[in-house]
Amino acid sequence: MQGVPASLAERLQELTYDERAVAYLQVDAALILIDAGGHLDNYGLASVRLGEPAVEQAFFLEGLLPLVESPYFVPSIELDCGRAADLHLHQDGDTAWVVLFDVTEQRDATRRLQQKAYDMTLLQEKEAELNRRLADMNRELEASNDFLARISSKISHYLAPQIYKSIFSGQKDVTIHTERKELTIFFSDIKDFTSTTEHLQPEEITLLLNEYFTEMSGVALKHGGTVDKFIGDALVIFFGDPETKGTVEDARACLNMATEMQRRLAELNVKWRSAGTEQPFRVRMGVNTGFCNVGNFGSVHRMDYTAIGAEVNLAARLQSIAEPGHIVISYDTYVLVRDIVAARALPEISVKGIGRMVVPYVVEGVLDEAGRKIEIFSEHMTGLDFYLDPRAIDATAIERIRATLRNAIAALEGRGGEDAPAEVARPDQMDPGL
Amino acid sequence: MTAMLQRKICMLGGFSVGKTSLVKRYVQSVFSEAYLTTVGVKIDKKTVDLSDRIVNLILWDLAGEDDINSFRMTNMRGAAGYVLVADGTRPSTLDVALSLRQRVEAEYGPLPFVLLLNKSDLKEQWAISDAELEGLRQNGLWVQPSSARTGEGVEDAFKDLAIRASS
Repeated sequence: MQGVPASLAERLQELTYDERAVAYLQVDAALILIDAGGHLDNYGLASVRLGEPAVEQAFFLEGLLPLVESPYFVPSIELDCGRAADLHLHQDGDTAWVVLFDVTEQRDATRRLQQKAYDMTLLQEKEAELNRRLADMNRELEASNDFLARISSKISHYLAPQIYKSIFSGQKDVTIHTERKELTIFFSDIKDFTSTTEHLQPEEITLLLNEYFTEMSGVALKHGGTVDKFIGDALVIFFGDPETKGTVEDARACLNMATEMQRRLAELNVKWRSAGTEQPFRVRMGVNTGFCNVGNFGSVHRMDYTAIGAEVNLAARLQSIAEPGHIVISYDTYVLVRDIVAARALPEISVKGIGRMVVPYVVEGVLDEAGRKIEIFSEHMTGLDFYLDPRAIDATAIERIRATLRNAIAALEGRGGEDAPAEVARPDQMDPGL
Repeated sequence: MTAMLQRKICMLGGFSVGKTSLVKRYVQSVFSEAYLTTVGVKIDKKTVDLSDRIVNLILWDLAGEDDINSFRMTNMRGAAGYVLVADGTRPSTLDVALSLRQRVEAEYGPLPFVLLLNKSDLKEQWAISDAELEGLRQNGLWVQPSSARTGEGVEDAFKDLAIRASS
């Protein structure tokens, strides 16, 4: 301690020696303990014996002697007795000195700090791990959601979209349950479907029928109808459940749908004929409005969402008495739609399950906003595809159409003498297109 | 009379992998849930009877580091072997253990060691696959899952190391 005043040097020695509980060991080249002193008891070394092997008595020296590097330092070594010491070794000629300084308090202070830092790091690691697992679970969840979405999308094709929506949104329970509701029910059937298609291959029939149903369902959806079922070539649609705009609007929507279906069917017939299908599809339609039971029918294993009741049967019956290409509606429907269609009463009929006589009405045309009847002409057969909707004609095209029609009539009259058809189509055999 | 040998063995690994708990399990046959970080070195002694010889293992339980660069390599001075410890629920600690091994070998050459994948009782959080374990073994590592809580793998690892470090 050169340059340090003698009295201070002495004090420093005292402070170091006592406060740091200095102890020392001296070991010779044969690793025999030759000297020991200081606060040996502080380190559990009070009973060391001089003249005996050092490493057997102070086993923390194992591997350190003889010294490979000098000085050699191990900070904060916790001994058997529980005290922590800084361990300093240095070579002095043939002997090695071992000096111990007590650092238990510093060790404890460091441990408190270190502990907090490690606890924090462990928490962060745990958090990162939990986040990783959460992300994994989210990925699994997304995958199973995708799977469910794919499945439910497949299922959706077997259900009316409104029914699908109300079930999958949780609005409707999938239980055997029905309600009484006022519905407008629509039935349609292709006239002589079997004989019309008997010369076609099954694959062609499937294609035709699928295209027909796809187009008609599209029209039904556009008008808010619930496509109930396909029965062979028949189609059942109702309005008023699960969504309703009120009885009047539901009935009007149904009639608008029916007339649009006829228009669309005329277009389809043209397309099919140009693709080689000789016989056009001629469709009868029946519409009735009344109270029905609507909901899930069937068993807990297999249910159908449908409507049943005498009023449904009546719609089917009206369809059966309709001429091909015509719509027949019940009086109950007619009173709801008389401002948008022109219709003529037919002889009354009785229907099983309906206590009253029913007056059917055949729809003869749609009415414009002023209540004027608009006729639509439609005829399709070998050698003729004719569809005329005056409302859809552009004013600039009228003269050209007149000329075409005149020429067409002249052409037919020119053939009149040779092989005129034995029977000219009567107006009631024409498709009014409505 | 059987020969009496003494060997310095170091416990190496990341922090909180269970080095102190493994020593405590091995030396005192106890386990404590409380985590108390080690500062510096803690020294313990365990006598192993190998039938033909008795070996005093002087166990240097070295403080785990979160930064392996701050590891005091001089503490390995004079060690006859070492126990690498990783926490099987924290894969990053396996990397720490393996790089510690590289540093030890670079400084002191090849020494006998065992690699313990500790906390094997925490099955649900276990993050090291059997394939990885097999991969390590195929690289010539003496590696074993262990649990300071149940004692699984502890005795065997130290005994194996005692044999190799004293022959």
